[in-house]
Amino acid sequence: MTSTSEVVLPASSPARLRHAGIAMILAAGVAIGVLGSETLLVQATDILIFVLFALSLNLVVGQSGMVSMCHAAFFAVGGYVFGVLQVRYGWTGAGGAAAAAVLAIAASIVLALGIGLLITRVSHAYFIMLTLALGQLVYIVIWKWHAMTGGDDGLIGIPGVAALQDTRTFYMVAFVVVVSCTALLFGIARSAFGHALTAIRDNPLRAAFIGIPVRSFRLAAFVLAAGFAGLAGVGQAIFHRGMFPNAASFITSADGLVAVVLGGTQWFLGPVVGAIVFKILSYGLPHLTQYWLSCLGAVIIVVALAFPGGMLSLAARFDSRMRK
Amino acid sequence: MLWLQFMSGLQSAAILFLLAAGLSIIYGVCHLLNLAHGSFFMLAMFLAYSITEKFFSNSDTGFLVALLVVPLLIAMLGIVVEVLIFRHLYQADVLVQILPSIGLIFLISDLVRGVWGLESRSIDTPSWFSEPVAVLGAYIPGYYLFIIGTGALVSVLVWFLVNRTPWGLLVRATAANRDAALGLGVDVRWMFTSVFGLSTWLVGLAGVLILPLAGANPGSDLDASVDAFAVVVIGGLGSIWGALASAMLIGMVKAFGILIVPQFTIAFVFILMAVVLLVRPAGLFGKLNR
Repeated sequence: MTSTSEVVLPASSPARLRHAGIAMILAAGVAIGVLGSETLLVQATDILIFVLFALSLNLVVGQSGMVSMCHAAFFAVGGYVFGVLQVRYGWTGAGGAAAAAVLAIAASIVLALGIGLLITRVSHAYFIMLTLALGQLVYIVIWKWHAMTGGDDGLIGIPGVAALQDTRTFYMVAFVVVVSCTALLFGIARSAFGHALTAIRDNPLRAAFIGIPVRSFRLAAFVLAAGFAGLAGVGQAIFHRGMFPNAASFITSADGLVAVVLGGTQWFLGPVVGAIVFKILSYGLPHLTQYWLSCLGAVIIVVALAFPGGMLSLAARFDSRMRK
Repeated sequence: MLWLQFMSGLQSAAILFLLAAGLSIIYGVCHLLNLAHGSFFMLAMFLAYSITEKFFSNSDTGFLVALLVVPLLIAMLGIVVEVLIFRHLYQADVLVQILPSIGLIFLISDLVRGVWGLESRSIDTPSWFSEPVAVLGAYIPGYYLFIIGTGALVSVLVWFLVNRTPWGLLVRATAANRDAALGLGVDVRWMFTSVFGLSTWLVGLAGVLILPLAGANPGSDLDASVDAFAVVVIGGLGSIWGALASAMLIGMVKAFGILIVPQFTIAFVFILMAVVLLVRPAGLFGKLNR
């Protein structure tokens, strides 16, 4: 009754709604950059980083139908490799930082290749359990490798990039980077490769019969998504000038998954909307109650039971009803 | 020395089996992966701590009461969760199925943090088992023997329930073909609910049994889940006997691994998991048809 394929491309694809939504998000993004206070800029930058994280996750989850529970590992490895190169090896100049960022993303990709080679051959339930277990392994390694990562004290004092020290400048750069990555991911989603992934998601056997290399494409999607997550991690490291083990924790992976479903996995911009709403909720709830994590848990359960298609499906249904 | 390690491995195998059997049964019958399995385990540990420590000031009676009451409480919670949440998701997409268990993990970990704080909690080994027992020339902690005995007894009980009772027959029928069972008049909903009850009872029992040996921490939920996943990935999801065999394997790997490289026993488990997956992607006893 709630199979994913059911909500793909509803009869009245609400282009009007989509364009209005995109225009609104972009306008809000620019307005915050120009007018926003320091606090707002910090929160908005966190949202931007999380948007990139959730969008990249949806390439795996929504588009390819693989429920990955270890996306945080790639995010954290990106951030930590960048931070360790800067703090422990002194790659601090403009060139050094750029090289560190490239190496950090490469590290996320290599890790995803290793994990992906092992897990793209197993079925759904095993995939979920293995990604969760391997994600925990990465978390434990970061936590215990005190000499390199700082353990639970965190890796602090990351110099970052000299030109991006100002919050507003960083926000603007992050905005441009995230919007470009979104465009890039959109291109991937609508390419032949993206359509092949959707075919694999809907029916792996049939996809294999028409000649799609199922395993390699799954692996490619997994690795590509990890690269974008690594980039988000680098952004996190530069912006907060530190990395903490909870970046790799189960909660970070789960947050991404929740954002993706909250927005709607079958919509390209679902994760963007979901990530923004999720972050606003997680900023707001702690002000209301000490048990905000419980509230979040309850929200997640209600969303899964009542609106499995996510907010965008709900909006589309509402819009098509309004036009009748 | 080796004999002692063997018994220690057997003890951890018993706990791993009780922990993972429920996860495997739920998947086998309901085709649902309950990610929050470890959360029930952690909750059982904390409840057992409170009953023993707060109500019975860490006495033997307290442990006995906890051993009897806590698994039942956890089973009741499991049944409530099944009726309120999981029952509505058996037909749903994998992602939508997984989401509520993530919500549950958040809920239970937040509850535990709110009620018991962030400290590690443990109880004393009951005095009946505090003396080591001489078995074949080595002194084995008495409590190990108690855990091994309980594990063996419960395994036999589960075997009996599944293979020799009318309820077990219906459960096996439901697991084999849900629609056919439904057509033959089996109350499938009640089957699912009762399977959830049994599974959470098992995981609750595992939580109480381990408490005197290992403290309860706010992170115990995911540690337990990862352990349970390792067992079912190696043994094969849905196979109780796969879970038993794989729990023995992991228990031994952990017990003897500690002699070789004490800090990286967890790495051995992951290596074992990787090897099994490369050779048999559906686990030792799993079927590859899904």
